Amino acid sequence: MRKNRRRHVNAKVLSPAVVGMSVLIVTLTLIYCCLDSKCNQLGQEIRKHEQCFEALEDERVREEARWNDKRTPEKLTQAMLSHGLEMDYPAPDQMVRIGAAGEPLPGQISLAKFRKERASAERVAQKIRQ
Amino acid sequence: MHERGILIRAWLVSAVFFLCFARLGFKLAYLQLSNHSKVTGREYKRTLLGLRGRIFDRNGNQHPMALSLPARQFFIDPKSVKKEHDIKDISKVVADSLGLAESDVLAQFMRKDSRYIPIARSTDDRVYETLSDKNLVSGLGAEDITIRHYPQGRRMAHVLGFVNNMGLGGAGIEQQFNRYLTGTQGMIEGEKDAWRSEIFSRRSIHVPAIAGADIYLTLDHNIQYAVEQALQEVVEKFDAAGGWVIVQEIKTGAILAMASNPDFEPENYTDASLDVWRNNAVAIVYEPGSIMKAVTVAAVLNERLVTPETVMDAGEGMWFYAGKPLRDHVRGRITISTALKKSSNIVCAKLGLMLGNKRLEGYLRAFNFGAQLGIDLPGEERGILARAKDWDKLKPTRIPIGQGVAVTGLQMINAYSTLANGGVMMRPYVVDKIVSPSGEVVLKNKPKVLGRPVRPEVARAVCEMLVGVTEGGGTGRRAAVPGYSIAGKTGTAQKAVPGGYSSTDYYASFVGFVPGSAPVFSVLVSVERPRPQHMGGYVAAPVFAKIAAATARYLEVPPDLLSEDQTDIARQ
Repeated sequence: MRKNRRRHVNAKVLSPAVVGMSVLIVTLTLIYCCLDSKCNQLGQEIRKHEQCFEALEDERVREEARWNDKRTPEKLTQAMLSHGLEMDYPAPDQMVRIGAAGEPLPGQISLAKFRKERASAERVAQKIRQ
Repeated sequence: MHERGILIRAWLVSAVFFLCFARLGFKLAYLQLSNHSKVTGREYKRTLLGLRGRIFDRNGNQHPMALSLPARQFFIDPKSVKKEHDIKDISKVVADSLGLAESDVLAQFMRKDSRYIPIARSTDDRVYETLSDKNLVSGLGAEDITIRHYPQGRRMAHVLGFVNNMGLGGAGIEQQFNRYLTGTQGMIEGEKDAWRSEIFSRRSIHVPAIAGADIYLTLDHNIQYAVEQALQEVVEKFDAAGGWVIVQEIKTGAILAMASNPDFEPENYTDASLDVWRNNAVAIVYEPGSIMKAVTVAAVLNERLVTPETVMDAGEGMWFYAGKPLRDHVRGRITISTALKKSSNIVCAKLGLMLGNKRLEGYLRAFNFGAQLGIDLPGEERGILARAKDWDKLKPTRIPIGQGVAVTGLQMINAYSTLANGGVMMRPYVVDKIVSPSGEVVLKNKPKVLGRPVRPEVARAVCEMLVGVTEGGGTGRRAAVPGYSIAGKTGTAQKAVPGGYSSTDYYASFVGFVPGSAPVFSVLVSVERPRPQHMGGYVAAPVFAKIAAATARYLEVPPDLLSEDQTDIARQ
């Protein structure tokens, strides 16, 4: 048969200051743990971004090199030849240099040739008119 | 008694537990307070590669001539091949990915003597991804490296040089400016986790890598292309042992192109011999032959001993002096102008005697023969010019025609550039500027005057005389370029051999500048041992014409040569 006994509890009521301090410590610890975890998470993300940046930077350098490889005068000439284009710089009598004022610069073969041809064309036209 | 025994045992057990926990406590404290990452093997250390600086041509950063690329060095570790993998299958995958012969790769996998057998380098990420598949490949490792890449292959090989396996410049600009080009390594130190990845929050040191400085050359890759093509053609056409070409800007002394043949691939420099690495344009000395006559004529004009119209006797094709004959293809009484135009040996030898040993040596030294010009390239030779007091009786008749004196191609073109520049000698240089990764100009080369060996009016007179060389009746007619007046001089020199001169081997040269009336650039072409033709006017002059035409058009040099009727029309 169970006896009804009055339970005696030996307990002390802590002062509010101690409780407050304990709660504060626990709260701060929890906040610290959360922040630490978050920082670690961010750190890992930064590290991943760093790695990604390095990889992309390396790839950019390599891609630039591949592009440069294709732009050498030799490769450009070959590429043009493969399309049947053989190009060279124009001959001196094919170039007319224009000054800042928009007038052709004097003393050029091309200009001399042009004026000569124009003069002869004008002479022919004059003869026809006559 | 029994209780006492129990008590002792309890104390003993407690003591043991205490000692164990105390040791554990000490250990924990030690690990936490001391450098725990090192103690536990969790230290993370990574070196960051500082890329070597780039080398550009004069067109800015659009055309890198040399640059460093991040790459991977693949190596075989035969002992790491997994049992479930067949080395034949692995060899096939590796060979296909890296472009190697399957049998060669298989042979490396069969080796038992090493756990590190480098097989290939690759800059391709896709190759790395394929070969990193552990289900497919084992026994293959990769390490991060940087490789020096030359996008234009052999172009400017002798000027650029190469980088050796130690990462140091071994020749050319790579050697001369190694300290500027070398990057500074960085480092990361911290801790790693169980997966060997770095724990970012435990990073203690992060020193970023610093790339090397970039070098901007005065050379132009388009002119260099034209030069190297023309040189290769002439070497093949005349079965020559080699040759060298220099293109120089007259006003500044900057080198626009410099080529030497045979050449090499800077990336695979070990495939070529030491002789091929040598930049012959600055490092080989040779007797220049008749191209020296312009310097002789400039000296006598400067001393006011003669004028271009002074008449001298070239004799009948043979002239004896000091008991030795001097042959000449020019005969009769001719002016100094004609002597230069037709390249008379006898008249020029007489001019040498007229000057006298001391003055002749003085002028040669004033034109910087026998001394380095101070170009910013390694291996520049001084040439050979003995002191006048040591000359024998024959020397003053032979040096004026380019015998008994050894020069470099660079000295010769610089002498002509001096004449073209109104008698002002500039220092030749190939580096325009050096720029740090932050954009700061670390070094800037400015044109530097080395001297004024002759008066401006003398230089002008010699230039006018040299224009005659490429006109009708001159020895350099094949150097003519339509639309431009060309001033220059041919040279054919016997190759010096022990005990005298070779009767079969020659140096064929042409040096001149464009346009003759207002020079912008000069070109030197020298071909070593051309066969069967060996005359400078036949072998080197057409190469000069080809290079001069391409360069003049590329640099947009206005043509100065108009026929009379065209001149009249242009004046209208």
